[in-house]
Amino acid sequence: MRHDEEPRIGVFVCHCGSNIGGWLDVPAVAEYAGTLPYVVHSEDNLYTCAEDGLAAIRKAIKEQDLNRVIVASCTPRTHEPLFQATCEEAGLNRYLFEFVNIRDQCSWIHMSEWDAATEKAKELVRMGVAKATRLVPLDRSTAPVELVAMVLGGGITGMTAARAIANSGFEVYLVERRSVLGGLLNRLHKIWPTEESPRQLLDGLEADLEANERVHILTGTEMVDLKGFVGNFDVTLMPVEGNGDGLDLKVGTIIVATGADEMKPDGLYGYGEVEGVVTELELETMLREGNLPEIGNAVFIQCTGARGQRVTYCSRVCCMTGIKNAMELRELYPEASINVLYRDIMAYGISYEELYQRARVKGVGFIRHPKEEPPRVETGPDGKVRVTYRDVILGRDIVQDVDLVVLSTPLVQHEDAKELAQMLRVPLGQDRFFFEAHVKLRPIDFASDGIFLAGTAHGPKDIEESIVQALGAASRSLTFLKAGQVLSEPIVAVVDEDSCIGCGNCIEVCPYGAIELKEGGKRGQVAEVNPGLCKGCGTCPGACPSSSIQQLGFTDEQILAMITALANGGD
Amino acid sequence: MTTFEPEIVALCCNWCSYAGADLAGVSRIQYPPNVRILRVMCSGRVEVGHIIRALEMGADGVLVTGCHPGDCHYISGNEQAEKAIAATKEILTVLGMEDRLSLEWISAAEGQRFGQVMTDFVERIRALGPNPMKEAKVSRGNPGDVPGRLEDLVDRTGVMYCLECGKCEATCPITRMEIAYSPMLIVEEALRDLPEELEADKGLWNCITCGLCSHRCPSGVDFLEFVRQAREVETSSCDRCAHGGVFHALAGIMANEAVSQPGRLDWVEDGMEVAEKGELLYFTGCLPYFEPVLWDVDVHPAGALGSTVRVMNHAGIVPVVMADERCCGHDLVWSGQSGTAFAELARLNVEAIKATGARRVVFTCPEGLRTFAKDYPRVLGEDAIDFELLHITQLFAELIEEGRLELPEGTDEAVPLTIQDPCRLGRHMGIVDAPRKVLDSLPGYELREMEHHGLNAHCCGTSSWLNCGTFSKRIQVERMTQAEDAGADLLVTACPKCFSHFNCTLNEPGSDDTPPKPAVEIVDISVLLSKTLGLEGGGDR
Repeated sequence: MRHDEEPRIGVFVCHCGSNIGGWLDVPAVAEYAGTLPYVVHSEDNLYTCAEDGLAAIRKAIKEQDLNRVIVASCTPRTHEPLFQATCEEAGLNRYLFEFVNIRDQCSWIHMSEWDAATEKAKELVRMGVAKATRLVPLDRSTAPVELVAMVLGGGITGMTAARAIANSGFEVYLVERRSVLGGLLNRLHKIWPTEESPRQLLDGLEADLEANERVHILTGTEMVDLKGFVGNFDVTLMPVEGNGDGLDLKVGTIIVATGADEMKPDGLYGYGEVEGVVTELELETMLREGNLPEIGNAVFIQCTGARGQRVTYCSRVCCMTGIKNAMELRELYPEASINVLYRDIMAYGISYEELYQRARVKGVGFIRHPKEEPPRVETGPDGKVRVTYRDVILGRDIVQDVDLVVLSTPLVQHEDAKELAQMLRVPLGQDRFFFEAHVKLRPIDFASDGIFLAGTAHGPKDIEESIVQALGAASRSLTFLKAGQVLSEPIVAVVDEDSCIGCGNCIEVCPYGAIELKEGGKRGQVAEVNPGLCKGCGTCPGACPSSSIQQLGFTDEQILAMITALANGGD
Repeated sequence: MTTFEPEIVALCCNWCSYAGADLAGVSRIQYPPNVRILRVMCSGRVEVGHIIRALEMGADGVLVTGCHPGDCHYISGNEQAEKAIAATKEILTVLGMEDRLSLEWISAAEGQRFGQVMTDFVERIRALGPNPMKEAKVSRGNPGDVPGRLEDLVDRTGVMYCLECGKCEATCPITRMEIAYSPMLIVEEALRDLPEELEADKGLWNCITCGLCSHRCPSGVDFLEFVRQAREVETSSCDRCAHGGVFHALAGIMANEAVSQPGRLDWVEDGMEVAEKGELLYFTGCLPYFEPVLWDVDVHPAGALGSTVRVMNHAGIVPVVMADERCCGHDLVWSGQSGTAFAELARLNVEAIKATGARRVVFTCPEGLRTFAKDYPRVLGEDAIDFELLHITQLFAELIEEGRLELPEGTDEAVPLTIQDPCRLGRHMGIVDAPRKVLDSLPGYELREMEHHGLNAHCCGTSSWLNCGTFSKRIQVERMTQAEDAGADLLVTACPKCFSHFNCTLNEPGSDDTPPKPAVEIVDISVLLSKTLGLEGGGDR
């Protein structure tokens, strides 16, 4: 198809089950689309992304001789590749596809405004048609992938991911800031439900990694600079301590497995002020080293700092950790009174619920307190810790002088995570954990290709979940490494050499150094874009005084056509 | 009465804020249905022109959203967005529309915030009320009354008298750069009634309307008028507009009576005496908009405004300046976009001037002078302009002649300077003596003429904010080289556009391989005179 043919546009409006169709008038939007300039076909589908929807697109392209396709449904961030591929299967260049988002930007956010939502959906479709009319076919280019992966973080997650990648035959650099591998597991006493020592897990993994020549373990090392994109990252690593030599690497993919820290709840429940108040990890260290004091009674306080106290989220692993350690104390001191003060117990899954029941059977006390009345902790008589808490069943305050108070605190992101996030150009979420590309559909990917996420860097997780995600991230990484090449989006900048004035303004603003002045043009110098370096941000057109540089897929003509379509109520 | 529902365009970057909009959707965060999202890959893609055009077309508000500082997916695109938005805000401040634009940083994780930003912005725009452009009665584009046939055009402009002598080609600054370009050929296409070829021929658009060919034509072919009308027949688009078409869009906006410009006189500083009524009116043209529109090319022509008033005040003149002055419409006339807007601009300006009681109207910008003198009578009637029109150099020359400016004593060493005759002032209006009278009387300077000067002067390379391209830049370099060759240290301009174009070329970043620029400094004639009079504060000389 030639792109200068008159446009023949097909519009497919999706009900998304009832996700769109339940909140706005989808058939009316489809009917309206049919009245727009150059639209020769429009229909509504229950699920355009389902096979029958995709078949309808292919059929219409062939039967109606469509040369532009618009789907009005969800977000390009998840479904554009699918619809583009469908167009391609039917012989249409994938860049003659335009996405209109009437779910995330319409039905889901205007749920009590049927008419306004329907009207807005029509306008969004009208803008989409205006752009589609001006789309031109583009070709993707391929670039080779550096067949090396890098895993940031040498805890159980990073170690697992690195082993999986190396076992699949690719070089992998495992970068750990601390001097040893193992991360938080190094500080645990026993792992539930297997009751093994974390060393048993770590030793086996570490031996595997050390035995594999494709694995390069770099402890005491951190990343200080990152450039490039999927397939071709340029990484600079430096020793954490001292002024040792840095290391420059080229890697194709990156896995972020930098883990989390235990919150230090300074100022909460006497922590840091009252003798005998410790965190779970501090207790585990004492258990591991065997230097616990004699304990006649102990109290665990769950949700310390979590669920609205200092952070908003439930950290998930602390209930299990608290129960596990309460049972551990119970076994070490069978005569002791061990009470767990909680708001809610989250013993999710099969083995944890069983563990919770066992703890109750074994005599660990579980005492619920209201959220509004947290326990109070102060220095008690005779070196004891005085805990005052509200028992909701008894309906009164209980005062207990105990030998030990254990605070179950949430996992939190490292203090300096922002620095790493900016280096990686990936976002942190509201709770400061690394934020995935899509909360449901892409839980391991970042929005930036070639960078993946695993373990507690993503949010609180137990070991099993971290390992599952580590293997997932390794697998996502291997998808790129095995392919050996990446297709680059052709939405790059192009120069009209006839009108380029060779002023160099575009060079100044290009974040990638992708533009140079070359000999040529009528003035002797003309801007030239290196499409391999151009990442398609579109910053240069804004700096061009003569409008001689444009971003493919986002040209001035296309953008202004959308604005005009919105304003004019038609083309 | 229905309540006002704002129409809002949100230009969202793909990686952070568009993802934030998705998260708002997934999280079912309800916000008002007034916002239409337009996805760009990076907020750095958003241009001043996109925003101004959206407002010209009646959008009530424009929201630009990007990644938080430091988080840009493209390293620094959001920094560029910040600069572009700041410049746009400056432009909108003149128009009193600055609150209709907002730049917000929203991350992919901030669905809640996305909804809040949208809600707040919708409420803010609701409180502001509708964009006055919503009620626009006129617009730029093809004028309705231009007969669309080339043969009529041929009759109207006398191009059939072309003798094919080729003098136009011999003198045309574009032909000298590009041998394939020919005014004669364009005329031939019209004579043969080949409108498609004429439209496809870049020549019609490459013409910088400098008028050198008409000046030389032995048959009196009015090529300038031919080009002006041919463009109106051929197109209404702004494809060839430079600087994102912002000046043309501003003309379209100002043509609407409902639009006021509360910030138009913000350049008036304490100590300057200006009036609302009086004998002499200073028409400032688009100068108050120049610097924010040209933010990306590092040129600063707006100083001419204050200098002009300081010199006038020094001579005892308190000029009228108008807060409701509007674009003269020159750039619409020459880009084929007069539409219904041009006649309205003419009407509004002339009515506003008459309301001040002014008998003399003085222009810094020769384009404005030419438009008032030659194009306003065309749309308002021959007698519509019943006040005197002067270029600022004419007023200065008069003041000097009358001894109303106290020029200091000369020095032995004179700085050599030369003068750029603006095409609109020289060939269009026939004014070449006035700037020379001014410069001749300045102590400490010595006027040296360039090879091509006066009515034969070469132009600054582009006019009407149109078709800036390789020709323009080469003409600019060549012209400044002529100034250098004449031995001048200063190239004096009497037109803010000449000033901007030369400086744009001098200040361009280029590359290491870019040949060195001619060693001349560009000075506006009002600024130079004001400095010589010692009126420029810290003023040297």
